[in-house]
Amino acid sequence: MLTSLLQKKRTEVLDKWLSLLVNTYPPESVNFFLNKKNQFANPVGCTFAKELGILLDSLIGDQNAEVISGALHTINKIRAVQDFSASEAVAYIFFLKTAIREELGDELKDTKVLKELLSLESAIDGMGLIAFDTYMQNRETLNQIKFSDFKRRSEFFGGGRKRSDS
Amino acid sequence: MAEKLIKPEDLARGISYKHPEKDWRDVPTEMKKGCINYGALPASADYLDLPNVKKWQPMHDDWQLPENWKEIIFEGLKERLKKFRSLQLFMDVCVRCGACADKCHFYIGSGDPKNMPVLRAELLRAVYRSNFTLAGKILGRMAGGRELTKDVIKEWFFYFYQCTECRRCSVFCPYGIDTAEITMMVRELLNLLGLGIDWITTPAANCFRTGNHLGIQPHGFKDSVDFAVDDLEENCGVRVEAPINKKGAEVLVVVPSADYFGDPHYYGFLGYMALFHEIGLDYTFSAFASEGGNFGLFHSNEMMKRLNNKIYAEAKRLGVKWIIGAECGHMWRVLHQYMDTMNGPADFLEEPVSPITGTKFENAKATKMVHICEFTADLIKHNKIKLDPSRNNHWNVTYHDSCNTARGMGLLEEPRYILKNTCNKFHEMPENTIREQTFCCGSGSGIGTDENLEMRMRGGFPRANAVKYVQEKHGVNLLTCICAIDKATLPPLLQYWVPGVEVAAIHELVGNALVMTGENDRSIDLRGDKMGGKEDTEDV
Repeated sequence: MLTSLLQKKRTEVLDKWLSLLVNTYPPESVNFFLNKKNQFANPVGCTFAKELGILLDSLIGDQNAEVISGALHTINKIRAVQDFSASEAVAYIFFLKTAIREELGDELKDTKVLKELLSLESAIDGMGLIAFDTYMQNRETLNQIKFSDFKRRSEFFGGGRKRSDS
Repeated sequence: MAEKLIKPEDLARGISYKHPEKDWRDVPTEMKKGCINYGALPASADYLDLPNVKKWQPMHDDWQLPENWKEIIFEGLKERLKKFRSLQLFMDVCVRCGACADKCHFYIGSGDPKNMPVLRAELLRAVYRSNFTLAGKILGRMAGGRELTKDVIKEWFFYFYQCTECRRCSVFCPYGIDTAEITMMVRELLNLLGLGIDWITTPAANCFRTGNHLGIQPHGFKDSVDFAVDDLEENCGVRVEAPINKKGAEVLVVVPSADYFGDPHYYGFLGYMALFHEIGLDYTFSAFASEGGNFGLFHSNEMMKRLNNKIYAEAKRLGVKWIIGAECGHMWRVLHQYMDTMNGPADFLEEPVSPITGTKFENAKATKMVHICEFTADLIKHNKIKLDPSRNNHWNVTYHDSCNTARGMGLLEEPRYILKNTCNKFHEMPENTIREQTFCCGSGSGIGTDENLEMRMRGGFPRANAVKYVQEKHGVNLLTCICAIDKATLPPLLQYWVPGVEVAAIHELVGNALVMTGENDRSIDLRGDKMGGKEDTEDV
């Protein structure tokens, strides 16, 4: 029942979720991230819109862990290098609860729907945990790059070019 | 990344993740790890006789500004407004239409409004308005003015070292305001207070001492070139001559120092040497003009002139007729836009004529300096070299227009012409990310440092996003470019955003495809890996 309600209100829930996510950026940039639709002119906003859609569909669908993890990875790759602490970076997962509660409103008075919602919210919590993992993977990659760059630079200044066979 | 922890009381009250709304003038600047560059080493600053040298870092609270710091800034700005009419114009003419606002790669990748070119310029313009215009003097903040404080200086440092001077924004400005030149002016002002960054100051000091950013001395330069000659022989079976400081050679070849020291630049360097050998060009390198790059450009116009001077001086000393400049980005901005008026006229040189094709490079009549891509494209056009593009079949190629060569000098077709003749698989990135609209690597203008990595990843995201598109759509696995900074900074960028795509010089592909007289079976490419299309050629 909740699934069909969410499918019916997919656009509204998704728009609300995206808007909550984009509002973690300075107000002057919210409009740009939300409304510039060219994926090359606005890669951040367009990626968010696309990947949040994948997450929502997955969540109310078969909850495929690989698909969910992939979408989270793509969003968190962006958030991991922006001006956020770890908790701020992944908080958007939990904004989905707010989006659903606000958009479904009165329909949640039905106890059957509410029960289903509790179960869906547990799945959102699970998604939050995967989000922490993917965020950390990206931070780890960043540190690995920093380390390799540093190592390469030391070799660069230390000994110049080395023959591949030496 | 900012080290922020939520306090228990905030947790109980409920956390707001919504960004607070404030006037941009009231949002304080926080020096964040990963987003700033370290301050200049006193030894390097001293070597260049820079003012107000001190041991200082931007994350310290006290920036040790000289007592009369305000006077220095106002006098410095006054002098520059008088000297550069463009600056005066850029300060007055902007109507804040916003056409540039969403065109900066740092803004697109971060959403920080102070990375909108219009607002970044406003950081200076507001101070200008308050102190140099009547309305601003009377009405102050109401007229868009702003008092100059130590926090404003910190904000300048933070944001003007987040501009790569790529000039994408100026392509969209209806008035043609060059925000890069505003950045240059603010960096000059900051340097008057001793607030330079090390990744610019130390390479500039090295360059002033030895002729190149790395501080390589002439014997070290010779070692590197000799090493490359050995490497090339090992790969191709052909021993080439690579003359250094050869008096009376026809052409002086100037390369960025990364070409003979860094990966993947070096493979392009091997490509140049193979090409020059094959066509029998009478050329020489110079152990003193051993750097085409010019970090002076990112410091001040005087420093740029100082470092550029050696190129004409060496051309004169060696008695060459004209000059070829290799694959480099900002090197070409300096050569194309400033060299002739800074250190010219080079009336002791001749108008460049290719000795192989007879082509007159009329576009280089003033500077006497030809881009290597123009030179190579001309050779290909006249069928003067034999190329086997199947040797690059292991590469599925796209091309990144480097900002300075594309927007700074309009070199758009020659690199593409060369690529189409040296490889079989070539795919362009989307049109609003290439040519004049190309996205910067996010690390140009001296900010390609480890300590600034997060900012570089944000700024490079629009470029990487376009690369990812052609990787997914066409299976692209090689991003070619003709800028030394690109070649150094795109590999880590792609490692983060688009793993599986490598970076290469265009002349690396030329070197691979070039059929050389007396060559071996060419089973390996210039990287020492198996040459593409080898199976096909064996069947013939």
